[in-house]
Amino acid sequence: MAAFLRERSAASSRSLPLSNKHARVAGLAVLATTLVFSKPELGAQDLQSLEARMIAMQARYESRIAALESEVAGLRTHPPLAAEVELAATLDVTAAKWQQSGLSKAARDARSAAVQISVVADAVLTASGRRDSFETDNQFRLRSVELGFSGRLDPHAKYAFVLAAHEDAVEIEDAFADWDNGLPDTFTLRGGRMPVDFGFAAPLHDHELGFVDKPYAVQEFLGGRAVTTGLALHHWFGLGDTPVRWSLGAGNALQGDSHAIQGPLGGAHEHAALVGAEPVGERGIEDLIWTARVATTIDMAEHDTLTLGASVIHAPRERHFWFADPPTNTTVAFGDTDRTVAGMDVFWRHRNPATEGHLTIGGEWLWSRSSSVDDSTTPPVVNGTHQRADGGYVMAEYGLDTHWTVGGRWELFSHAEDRTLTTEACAVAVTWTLDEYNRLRLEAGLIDDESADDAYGFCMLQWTTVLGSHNHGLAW
Amino acid sequence: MALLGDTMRTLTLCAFLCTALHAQALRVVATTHDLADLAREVAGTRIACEVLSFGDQDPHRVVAKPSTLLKLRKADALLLMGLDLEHSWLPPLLEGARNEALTAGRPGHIDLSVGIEPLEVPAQVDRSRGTDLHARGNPHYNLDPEGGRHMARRIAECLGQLAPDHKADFAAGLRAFEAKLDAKVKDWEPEWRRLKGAKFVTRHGFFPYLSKSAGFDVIADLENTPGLEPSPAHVAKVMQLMREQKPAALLVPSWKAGGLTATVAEGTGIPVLALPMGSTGRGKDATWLDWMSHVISELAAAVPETREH
Ligand SMILES: [Zn+2]
Repeated sequence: MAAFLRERSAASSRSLPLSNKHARVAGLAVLATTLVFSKPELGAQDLQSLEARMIAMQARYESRIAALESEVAGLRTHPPLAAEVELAATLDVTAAKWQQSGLSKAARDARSAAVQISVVADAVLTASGRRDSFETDNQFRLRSVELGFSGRLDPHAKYAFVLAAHEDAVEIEDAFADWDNGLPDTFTLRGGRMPVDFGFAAPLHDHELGFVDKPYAVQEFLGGRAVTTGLALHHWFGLGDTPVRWSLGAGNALQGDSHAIQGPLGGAHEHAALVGAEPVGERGIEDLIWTARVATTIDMAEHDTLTLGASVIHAPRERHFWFADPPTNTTVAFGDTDRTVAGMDVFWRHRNPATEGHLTIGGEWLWSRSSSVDDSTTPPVVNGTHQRADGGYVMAEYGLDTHWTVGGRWELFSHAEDRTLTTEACAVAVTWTLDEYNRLRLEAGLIDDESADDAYGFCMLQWTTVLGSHNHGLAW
Repeated sequence: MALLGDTMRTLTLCAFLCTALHAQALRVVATTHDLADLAREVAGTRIACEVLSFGDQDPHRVVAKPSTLLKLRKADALLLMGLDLEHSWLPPLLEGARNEALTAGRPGHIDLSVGIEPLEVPAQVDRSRGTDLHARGNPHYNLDPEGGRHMARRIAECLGQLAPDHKADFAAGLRAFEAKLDAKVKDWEPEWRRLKGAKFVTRHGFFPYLSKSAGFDVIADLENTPGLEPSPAHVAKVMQLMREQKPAALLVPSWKAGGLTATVAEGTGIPVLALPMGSTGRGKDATWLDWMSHVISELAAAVPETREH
């Protein structure tokens, strides 16, 4: 069983999403409206060459920023209208500060042209006592270099485009547009390749987490950072003084990203990445995946909030693959399955402005129901029955100030394929934010993995650097 | 039209829940407690004001909550300091709130920095070390009696445009406030005399407007770029200067009293004066005038008596 899982995961780091037609179309559309972005085909490369490219990219965009800045400076030399005083801002917030009215056409053009650019590099050193050592174990790896663009297309729409280069692949993480001001009330329609709006941890990019890896339970049932290509409608409103938001989405398939797991469980629990990643043949409207979420954040005190959320995802038809020939990564589709995952999340957040510290306590629990696959035969068969599994995590994070954060996480989940096998894991992480750009994290923990019949300790050191503006808005 | 409907619904609900007076109140969101306090001085109960940040927290880095979206959505007017003080956190909230009445250029978008002559406007923005928080000049004009006067006047003027029926009331509120301020300014004369020519070192540029009015010198700032952690070389240089020139105090915002501040104070023997950088609605800093008095008296008390003639 375990060997089978590993074989499957060995290929899960292949670049699947780039070959997805919808993602490509959405990506190109976004690119065409922003910048002509040269050569996204960063192949398998070493750290040095990736860094050199990153620096070159940075230089290129800095010169563009300089050009835009001088344009804005030109606008500034004309005596500004009262409304245009706002305009003379630094460029990195220009896009966000787009205003619908009261600006001259030239000012609007300057704003719509402004692009927020960010580069995030993430490297992890892993050491573990795992018995069957994995390719991700005991080595220093550049997990990803992420290049992000975002801005406004026009007063009615904005976009985000995130390209992630891994050691052996490049994938489009996000390529979506939001239609907001054109829609009534607080409705927003999101279209393109987007994170699935499910719970707290699943939609986050890796570098936004408080720990090196996504919670393993989320990876088990959703495949890490779950993404889909489709449409999602978002809306929020006030229930009295309490804001409530909900979303409803439909997409072509549920895809976990290929690099979510770096720690010692890396490779072992990414079933979802392969399941349905590459839909084969005709897919009708009845095959679309559906997602829904409702969440509220209640103000408990001036600096205390409580977020409660519930999410569900239903994938009616996922193609299952089987590795016929692991050395050449030849995969054979052997059947279709369905899957439903529901989740609940609760987070209490406290801020202390006097110390600039914070305390977050929360957790998520997920319930999974999916078609059973009998893998005792070759090839495996989908046998028509369903199996259930569940699991989740609780975590606490204490920020002493703007530099130091300590966190702890405990997890327990039963395996999606076999609920009699459970994994329990706990971890402690210390994060040191050196400055605006650099962050170091040391994480240590224990894993008791029944599927591998192994229990062991691990230790990880993560270095993350963030260049450029980065604003992901409210998390709720 | 939808917005009008929303406003009407909100007002109806309010009339049901609150007094008749409150039903007609303008809903105002203020990015700082100072703005809310001055708006209340000017407009009294004709406005219902929500506050997004207080003087004991960094006004550049306010952590947004979803409820803020709702406050902005329901508001008739937004009072902001401008000059990019709120630029890292307010624009995404305004975008999310989708309240057209608050967009720039509308009467509901009240930028208090209009009419201020900003100090410390950089000749060119140096992006090499990160985002300069004062790229358009220093936005901390609230820390100055004349800055407060300007804010109150502009609030009265702009609210008067939004609610022309109450223009006379706002003008009366402003007159009453200015009379209070004038009396306070007289009271502060001894402190003013004591502060003239005194030397201070600051951490973050909260004081240029007050130092200009009161005539004291800020000989150095621990930050070499506003908002960024100072470089060790810069800190060493400032500490050397402090040892040589013996400033009266190291002035820091209340949320930066520990860490580097304590190290520098220890290494130089210069006392730390940690103060809120705006009114908080509580204690000595309850109102903008209270806070101003608090700051001025603490600063003057830090200056050695021998300096006084
Ligand atoms: Zn500042």
